[in-house]
Amino acid sequence: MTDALTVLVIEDEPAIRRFVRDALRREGFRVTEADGVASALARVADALPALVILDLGLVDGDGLAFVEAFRIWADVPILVLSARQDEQDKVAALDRGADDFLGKPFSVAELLARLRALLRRATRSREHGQAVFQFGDISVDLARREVLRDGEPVKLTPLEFRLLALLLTNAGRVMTHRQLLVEVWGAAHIDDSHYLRIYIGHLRQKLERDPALPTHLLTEVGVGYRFVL
Amino acid sequence: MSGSTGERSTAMRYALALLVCAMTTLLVLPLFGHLDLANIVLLFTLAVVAVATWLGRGPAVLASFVAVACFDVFFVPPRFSFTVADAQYLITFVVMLLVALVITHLTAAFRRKAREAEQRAQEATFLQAVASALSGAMTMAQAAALLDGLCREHFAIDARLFVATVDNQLQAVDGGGEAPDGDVQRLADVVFRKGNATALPLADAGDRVTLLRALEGATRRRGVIALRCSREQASGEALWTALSAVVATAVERIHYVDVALATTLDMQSERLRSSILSAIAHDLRTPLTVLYGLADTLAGSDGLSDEQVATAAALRDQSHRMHRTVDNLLDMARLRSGRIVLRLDWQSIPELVGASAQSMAPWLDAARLQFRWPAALPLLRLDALLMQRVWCNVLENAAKYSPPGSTIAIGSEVIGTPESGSLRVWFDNAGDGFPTERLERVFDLFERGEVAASVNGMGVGLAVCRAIVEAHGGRIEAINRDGGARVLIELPLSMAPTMQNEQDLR
Repeated sequence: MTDALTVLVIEDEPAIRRFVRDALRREGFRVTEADGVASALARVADALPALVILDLGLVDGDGLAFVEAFRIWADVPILVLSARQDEQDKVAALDRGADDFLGKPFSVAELLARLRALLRRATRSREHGQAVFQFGDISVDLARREVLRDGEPVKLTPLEFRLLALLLTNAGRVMTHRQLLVEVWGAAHIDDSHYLRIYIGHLRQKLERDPALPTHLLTEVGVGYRFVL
Repeated sequence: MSGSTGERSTAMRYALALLVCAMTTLLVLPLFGHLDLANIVLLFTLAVVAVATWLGRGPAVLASFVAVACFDVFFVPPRFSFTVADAQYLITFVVMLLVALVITHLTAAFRRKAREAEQRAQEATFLQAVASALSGAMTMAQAAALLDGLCREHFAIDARLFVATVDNQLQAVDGGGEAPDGDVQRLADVVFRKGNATALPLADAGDRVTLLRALEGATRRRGVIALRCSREQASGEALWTALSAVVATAVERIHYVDVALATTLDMQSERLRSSILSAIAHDLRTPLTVLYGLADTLAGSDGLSDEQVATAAALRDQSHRMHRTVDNLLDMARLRSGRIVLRLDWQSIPELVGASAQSMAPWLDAARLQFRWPAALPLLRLDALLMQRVWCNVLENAAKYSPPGSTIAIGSEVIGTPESGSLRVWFDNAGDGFPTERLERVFDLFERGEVAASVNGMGVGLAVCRAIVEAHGGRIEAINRDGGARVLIELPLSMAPTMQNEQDLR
């Protein structure tokens, strides 16, 4: 890595900040730190990081406030750290534009994997989209509306395809129930979460090797879905 | 209720009427010869008016006749005899009598009306005083004391207040007066249960009676008032009905004040409890997150011996396990507070169980899991996060108490109809099964306070499972099969939501 990417860590617990910082530095990232929303906003104004790691349970206020203020002008990926109990905050942060979340306690390996996935996606979207995706024994060509398993076509209904395309183009991010329902079914169906359950079930049956233990189309319980390539 | 007539005996009043007639005769006699007979007639009529006003109708009628007789005997010639020389005096007598009787009648009617008006004004003042006094009362005891005080002051009546308790028992309110005797309490109970139908006055040792009135609130009967008064007072139906309505309103208001206060207190303690819980949660989780992260970093770093890596990994796994225990305990505390609000949403059981298994991946060999889901299971209305906790705990338990590498089979079936049926999910593991003597109580840790059961690790996790499953209206059961154990969870089905088909949606 010739030019090290900068990651901003917003976390008010010094000990957590420390091991996250150490892990990131070992991976070759440059790290800046902030212990609250105010100092974080000052930090991003000085120099734009490549990625932000944000603890939702900040003492000085709402991590949500940072997401809102930051998303107005920057599309840098935001990875949210949260305790299991802060479900509504987590969903609210994702709905407002955060990209992914990691529950506490988290393993460093998992943190780095998520971080890389988010950076890959950011690069991909900067390079104006990608039409062909490959995962497991499946290949999807969005432009040709073609899904193949080991070269054999897989039949998807139009809505299944639309849902798959949305998840693929956002691979690495968590898509909330709300975001998926609005994008695929329209705002009128925002509360019809049973549509999602049924269609995700269908997609898993058609695309996953073991639909009972999927490896690509993952459920984030109480939050939404994540596609892992 | 009071007045001049009530205070004198009837005979006395008639005697007084006669006395007035006699006095009039005696006073007028010296004037005989100076006054015209027509004027003397007027003086006697005046006396009758006085009697009617003062002594009432009966004595006035007597006075009318006596006055005519006196006039005849003492003033009409021939005097001192009933004989009348001039027949025209007969007309005088008749007219005089009629005028006296008419005046008597009018005066008596006027007197009665005046007395009634006075009484009504007194009652209105009383009711108003009661209403305004009770509107300031904050407790039942205050209300009872104020009511008793006003009843004594206005009518010399003892008033007792009985109110319904939470479990709808009638209880005398201690307003500072003497306690009601057993008969009153018993009769009050009857009146409370049946309403005013049985409100017969209860006779006292003296000449007093106890009158009971139910207090009818807007939504239900609120209590009873007992009034110890004279028989005559007891007949004042309208007043006591009005009084019981006023008191009922006050008692109902105080009841709602109590309810509002209790609710506020409840909310405050609930808010305190949940803020303490989240503070504890934060303080417990933060160091565990740090510990887990540091151990994980250490386990992954280069240049460590195998033994050191294993130690770091053990540290990491133990801190994660501790974290799960803290989560279980906090969930248990929330569930136990009885106020948990389930965030129900349509969920697919295979999806939830799969996601739970994946979240347990580092501690659970996924290859051991064998899912046998029937095709097309119905969706259920569940709180996804709480149910995830159930599946995780049950899976962890199944893995822990079975030989490494042995299969954990997961199956499901629908029982009954979609409207009233349920969905069963079971987890079968190999091994010795649950200890037979504890089979019934595997999920009971907190109920029985058997802390010892937690020593071998089954305690908190399974107890939380039961609390969560029961909060969903379901049940959980531990069964020993041939060659292993089964945990069976049964959850109620709900009417499945409708779904438009794809063509209609687009």
